[in-house]
Amino acid sequence: MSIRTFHTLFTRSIRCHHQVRCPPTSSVLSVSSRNYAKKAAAQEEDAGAPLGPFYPKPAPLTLNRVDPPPDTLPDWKEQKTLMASIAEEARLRHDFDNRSELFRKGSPDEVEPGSVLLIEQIASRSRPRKQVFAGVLIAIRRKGIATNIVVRNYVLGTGVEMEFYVYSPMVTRIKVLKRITGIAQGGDDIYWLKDRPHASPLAFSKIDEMVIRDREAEKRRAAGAASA
Amino acid sequence: MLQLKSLAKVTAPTQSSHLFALTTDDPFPNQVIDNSGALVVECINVLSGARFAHLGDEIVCVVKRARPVPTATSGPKGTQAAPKVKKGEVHRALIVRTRKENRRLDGTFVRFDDNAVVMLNKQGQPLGNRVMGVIAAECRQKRWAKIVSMAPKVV
Repeated sequence: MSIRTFHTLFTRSIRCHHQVRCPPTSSVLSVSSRNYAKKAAAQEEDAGAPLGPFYPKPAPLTLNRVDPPPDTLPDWKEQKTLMASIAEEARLRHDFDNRSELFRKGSPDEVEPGSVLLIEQIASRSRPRKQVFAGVLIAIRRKGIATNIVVRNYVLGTGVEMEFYVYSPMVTRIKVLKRITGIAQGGDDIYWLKDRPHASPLAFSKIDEMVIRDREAEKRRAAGAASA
Repeated sequence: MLQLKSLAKVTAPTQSSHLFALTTDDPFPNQVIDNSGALVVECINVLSGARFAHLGDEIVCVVKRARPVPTATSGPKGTQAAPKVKKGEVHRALIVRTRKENRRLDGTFVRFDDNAVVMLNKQGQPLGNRVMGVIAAECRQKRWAKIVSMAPKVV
């Protein structure tokens, strides 16, 4: 560990609260643990510069709003349009990298359940350590701004499902690792895949390779951008 | 040579999708994922006093199935650590995986395929010295740093 990294860790650790993560001394010292499976990589790697507070994009000037006549209660049709336009505006303001095109029904970039996705998220904007979860998309729940997706993968033998809110600012990147069509057959979910994992055309074990390949591609891209 | 096969996790045979968190009224077997010697435990008390135990909660449990204690003549000497718990003993444990989804503060949910625990002693120290399998990150937030540091993967 270089002096600079140690300095960063030290100053960070005295600033932050109880979650100080020292190197696990027990795992370093005990003989029996050395032969075991690899420990999780050092969590205190460089998390990157803290991001500022989140601001959604500025409100678009005009949308298809329907303002009900002032003295009447809007009937249900007008209410639906009003809510739809509010949700639409919220989605436009929170969509920074055009990810709504992935989940909008009828879009050319639409992603079907069964595809393999990679989700990068951060837990905190002051210490934006990127956490990656990749897996098979098994459900898309379209609920306007609260649209969420369920992604399933096997981690060390145990099945794990994670649900992500697509428009959350904490979800920094959604990448399609492999587009697979035909499993969902027009539906929005393939929950049955939990009971029949072999039915997916892509074996779950291949997902780790794809994540590694994506990480290498990202490193190369970052190196290219830094040198350019 | 470590006999990794004997330390492998036993898959839960039950078919019922017990979605709700662990409770005392409806005992349900939970996997043990450390090398303390227990294999399957059942929750008998939730230490926080809540009705259900959630991810990262400490529970009192009874060992339903444990690794057999090796006799003097079986196996090459000095390879298997003597299991520290036996069937029928009452110990504490920390819940590290649940089938019931757990909401995080940023709105994400995480859900595992089984309920799993790590055995603890009365002082809150882990009984085993190794954890096999993935652990939820809630354990780190609830200050079980020692167990999180033993885990090969935290989700």
